[in-house]
Amino acid sequence: MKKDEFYRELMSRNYKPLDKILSKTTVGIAGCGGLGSNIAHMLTRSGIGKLIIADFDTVVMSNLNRQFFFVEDLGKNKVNALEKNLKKVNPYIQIEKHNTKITSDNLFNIFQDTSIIVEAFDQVSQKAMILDSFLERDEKDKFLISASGMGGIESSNLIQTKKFGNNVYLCGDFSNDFSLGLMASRVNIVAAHQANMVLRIIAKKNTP
Amino acid sequence: MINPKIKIHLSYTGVIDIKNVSNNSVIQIKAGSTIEDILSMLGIKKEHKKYIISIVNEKKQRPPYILQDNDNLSLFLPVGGG
Repeated sequence: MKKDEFYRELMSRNYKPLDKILSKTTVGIAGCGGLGSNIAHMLTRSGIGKLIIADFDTVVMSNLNRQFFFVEDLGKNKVNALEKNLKKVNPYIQIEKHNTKITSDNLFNIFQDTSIIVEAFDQVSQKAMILDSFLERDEKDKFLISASGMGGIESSNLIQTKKFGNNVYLCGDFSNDFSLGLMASRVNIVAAHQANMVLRIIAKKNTP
Repeated sequence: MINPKIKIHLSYTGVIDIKNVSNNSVIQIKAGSTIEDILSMLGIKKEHKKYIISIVNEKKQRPPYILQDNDNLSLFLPVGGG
């Protein structure tokens, strides 16, 4: 099946106003773990044209409880394994991979070709770093979608999306951390909040 | 001499342990107070201060920023997990 036909069929049940935009849109995902791999998966199924993914880690057994990886991926770089898995859904998606740790020094180089960056880190220090760097830069036409609070099995209804400042969105319950355990269900709810906020921004619906 | 006071609008998100100050409230502070002063006044733990993101009137500001009357101060402290 040719690319145009593939995209048309892939998106045949989609929200129609995004039809002509998604395949031409690039989104950046910082971190390819519980949040990032699932956000990438959802955006790929939505018909996004290109993803810039960055992570320095490899796939280990404890990732398989919530991340979009399989037994065959164990020991592989996350960005390589994720690209392979995403291409099983959409062989035409463009993936730009960065097998590196994201810092305040390389952040804007890695994501220079996108106006939407999704924060999908595990560590508080990394989350704070990207928020701090992004807000410091204060670019009017760039958006950051961050996540905080998805641990345990507390109520799904505690999870929400909030705006913080002009161009930052925060998704999560904002309190339950990794010490309560990380389950596929709640991690995926937060990932879905982030993925949906990406789609809303693309559709110019900038409210949470 | 009476220290002049100013009002700021305070909102916060995340596990910020603030006693006796409700979210989305107006608080009175001494004129000339910085964000750092407010974090100390609110009893924010030292280990949390380094990760707190502060926005004043939709723009990020660092702890030495001197707050002005009617400023909107938003604080966010992320938690780990992903």
